[in-house]
Amino acid sequence: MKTDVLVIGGGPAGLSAALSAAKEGAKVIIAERDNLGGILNQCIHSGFGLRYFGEELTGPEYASRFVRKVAAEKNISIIKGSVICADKNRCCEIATESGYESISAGAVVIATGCRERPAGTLNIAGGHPAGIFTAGTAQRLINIDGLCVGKKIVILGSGDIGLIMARRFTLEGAKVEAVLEAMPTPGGLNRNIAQCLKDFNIPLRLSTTVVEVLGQKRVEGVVTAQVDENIRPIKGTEQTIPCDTLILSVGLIPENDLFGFLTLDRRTKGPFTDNLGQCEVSGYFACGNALHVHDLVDNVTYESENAGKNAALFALGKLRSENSVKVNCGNSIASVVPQFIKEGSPSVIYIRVKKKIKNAMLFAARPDGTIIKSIKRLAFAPNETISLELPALSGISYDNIIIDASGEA
Amino acid sequence: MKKMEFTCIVCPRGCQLNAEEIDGAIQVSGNSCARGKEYGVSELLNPVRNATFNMRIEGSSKKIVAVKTTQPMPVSSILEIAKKIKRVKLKAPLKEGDIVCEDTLGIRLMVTSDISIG
Repeated sequence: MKTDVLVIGGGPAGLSAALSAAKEGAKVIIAERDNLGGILNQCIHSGFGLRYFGEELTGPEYASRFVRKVAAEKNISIIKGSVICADKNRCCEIATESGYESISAGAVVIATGCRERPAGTLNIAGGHPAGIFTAGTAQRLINIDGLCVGKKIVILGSGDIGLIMARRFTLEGAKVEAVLEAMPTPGGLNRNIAQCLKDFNIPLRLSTTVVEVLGQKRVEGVVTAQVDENIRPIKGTEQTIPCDTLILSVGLIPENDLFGFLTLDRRTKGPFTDNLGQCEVSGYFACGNALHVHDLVDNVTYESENAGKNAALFALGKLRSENSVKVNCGNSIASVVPQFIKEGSPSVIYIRVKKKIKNAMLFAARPDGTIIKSIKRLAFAPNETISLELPALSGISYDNIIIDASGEA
Repeated sequence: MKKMEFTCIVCPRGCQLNAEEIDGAIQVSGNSCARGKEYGVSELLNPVRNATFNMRIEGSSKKIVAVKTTQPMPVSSILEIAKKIKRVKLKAPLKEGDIVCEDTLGIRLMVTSDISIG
């Protein structure tokens, strides 16, 4: 089978990429192993779409707006199946319910989302009792399958999903004993600390982790300890919290296992891309959580529309090749996406800072120090992605720009 | 005289707001936009939230559907409504946008996805 654009994944990134590729006149196939809408189907809380639609929607509502558009678009077809391998020449193999399918695509959009960091990566002492779940798995069991996961809950990690699950467990009638965070600052957005924890008097304990899980058949409790500045448990600070469930919200990892031929940015764990969404290997484009972990689905949509459009232009032979510059991280910056900028097109740079900076200025500068663009804020914190819009660069006489921030610690 | 410090939840930016009642008027500071000011006033006088709940369904292969409040509701009554909702079952089919529970629970809740029969 041949197509202009193959989009791998039918979540928010894949749907938006497919729609904007079809708008350019390309024939598009979306490969999705589960239901269209992806992770949004289980994110039943509201707060989506404030930027893109100017209204507050739940996850399923945000998804259905795109699913309906995709269904009405004759240039898009859906294959229900898992892409099991992909090569540099854009040949992909898909395992479907009716057998095995080979697709040769003019361009491929990676929209595979991310995975949760699992329990095995944490080195927590104890056996393997039932009752340990990642936050997203618990969310699926509760919000899709309608199952009760536990009654007395401890959540490790204060990422947004962990905070949102603290509230969900509470509304489902379970008791959340505490949310623990090993870092000295919370991982999720401040608004989620406010509306998910404070509203329901759920305690948040910072610089605290789980050192042991108690129980043989089912979790019976966890032993917590405070940690020092190197995140090492401090002896003598151990406390036991009786509980039947431990929820882990300890990080997300972009899903790029299929694409071994792409080098990943060790900071974002996603592939290197330019401002057109293009990867280093010709004809591959990436967007959404497979590229870098987002805190807002609205930004996923914008990013994916850009990648989808350029994938279509590439497949149709209309994408011009331009000079590019590298985007370097300054000392205060943890990561930037994209890592390259092509001349002639505007870009949105997604930036994370390493530490909280107050009365801060974030800027993009040329190697000679000339500021291209800057934004000022009261504070920038590591738990938010900052977007910096840059105008199209032209007549470039330098090979890199630097992103950095200045201000008070 | 009321005085409170809290995080604005209107948008992901999460500004730290101060709201204070001075001579019957409410002063909000720390906000970066007009919606933040509105939120500050509301949060000081009567904190309200949009909430979503899972409800059981009969007559579909799907077991539950998510419903959301059509108007922000008082924070203090969210848990009570969550408990009451557990005892109610909806019947398939349902359409995104359907209003349910208005008669039984006295609260307008909107279905957030289509649920077909079978």
